[in-house]
Amino acid sequence: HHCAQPVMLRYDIPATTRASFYVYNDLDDVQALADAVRATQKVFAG
Amino acid sequence: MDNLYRDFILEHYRQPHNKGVLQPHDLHFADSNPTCGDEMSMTLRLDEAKNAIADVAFDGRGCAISQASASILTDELRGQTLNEVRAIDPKHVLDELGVPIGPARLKCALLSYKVLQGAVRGEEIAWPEEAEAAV
Repeated sequence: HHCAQPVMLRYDIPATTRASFYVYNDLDDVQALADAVRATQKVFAG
Repeated sequence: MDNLYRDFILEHYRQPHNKGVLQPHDLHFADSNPTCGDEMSMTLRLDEAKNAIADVAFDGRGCAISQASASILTDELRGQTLNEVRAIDPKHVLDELGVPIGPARLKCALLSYKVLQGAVRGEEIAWPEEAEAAV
């Protein structure tokens, strides 16, 4: 539950994708993640 | 070859067979997969003799592997006797997916099997040893 079980229960969210940032991450990483999530949505939506 | 199998599973995920809830039903069971958050329930209707599966449906929310597995598994059940269903080998369920399932996804692939066994036995079974040995 990505340490967010109560909020997932509250909003009835079955699954989440979490980004955990650290000192070595930058905006390129954020963009790469956003692109990957959108691509994944396309794959599963068909 | 890899693409073919991937598309096969995605098709079962996007247009799952036997998705829903049978009303009325003779058998019902619900369970979940703790490693992935998949939830699944199954309802079954038996024949007149109450010995074989007449109809089956599964419901719940889960990953593509868990949903595809249930879609494929439930397609095979109509006409099988309860004893035949109890004797289904979990390896067969994995084979039907057509792709090798790594240890992290075994519980996803076998959740439908576990729910089905719970329904036809009237009680929860342990995870098959192939799933238990992994994660």
